[in-house]
Amino acid sequence: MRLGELEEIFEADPEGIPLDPFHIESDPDSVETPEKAEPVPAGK
Amino acid sequence: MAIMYPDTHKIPIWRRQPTRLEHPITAWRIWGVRKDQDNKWILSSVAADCPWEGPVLRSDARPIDPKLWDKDRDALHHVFATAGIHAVKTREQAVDLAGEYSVSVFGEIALWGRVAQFTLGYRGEVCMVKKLFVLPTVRRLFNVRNDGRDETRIAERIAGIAENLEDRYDCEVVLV
Repeated sequence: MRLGELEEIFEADPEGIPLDPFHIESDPDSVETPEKAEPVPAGK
Repeated sequence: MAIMYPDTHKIPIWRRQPTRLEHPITAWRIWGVRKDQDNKWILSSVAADCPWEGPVLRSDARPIDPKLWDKDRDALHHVFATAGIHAVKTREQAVDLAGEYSVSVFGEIALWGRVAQFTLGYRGEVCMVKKLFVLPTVRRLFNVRNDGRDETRIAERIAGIAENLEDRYDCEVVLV
């Protein structure tokens, strides 16, 4: 069955999704953001 | 101009955070029908040897799961590329596909869990059958003698398919 090009990934959970739009849940699939660079000491 | 942050547009779609939905996605599928060990009619997938035991089916693997790719992309590439319950977006697509695959049942389904949306359809993690339609081409299963005197017998057997499917999948079955 030909489905074409990937457009988007959904996580559709009719029972488990919190209704609070500001709820943030850690997702192991998410891409890690790079750590902040070490501050450069003044004068160097 | 220096790039201060990663350009997220270059991250593959399947690696991005999924868009969360509070409702399942409505889609369409096609099936073949065959008899189970109890001589009852049951739906079966067209591209895999997979009988549908009940109204809800969960895929063995999540569709386009980055964990599969990262674990062992060589061994699991086939699973990565095909996992999920395949579906199309519209009833018209399903009817066309039923002709293409020479099967006589199509239906409306709900998909949830991880769902990959493509231009022409979906691959979903979990699927529930909502409504089934049996096309007139199902006669091919019974009209073996191509004899008009068999009409009553054929009609009874098609009604038997609808009854079995209604019982098993707990949904409305429409003879188109």
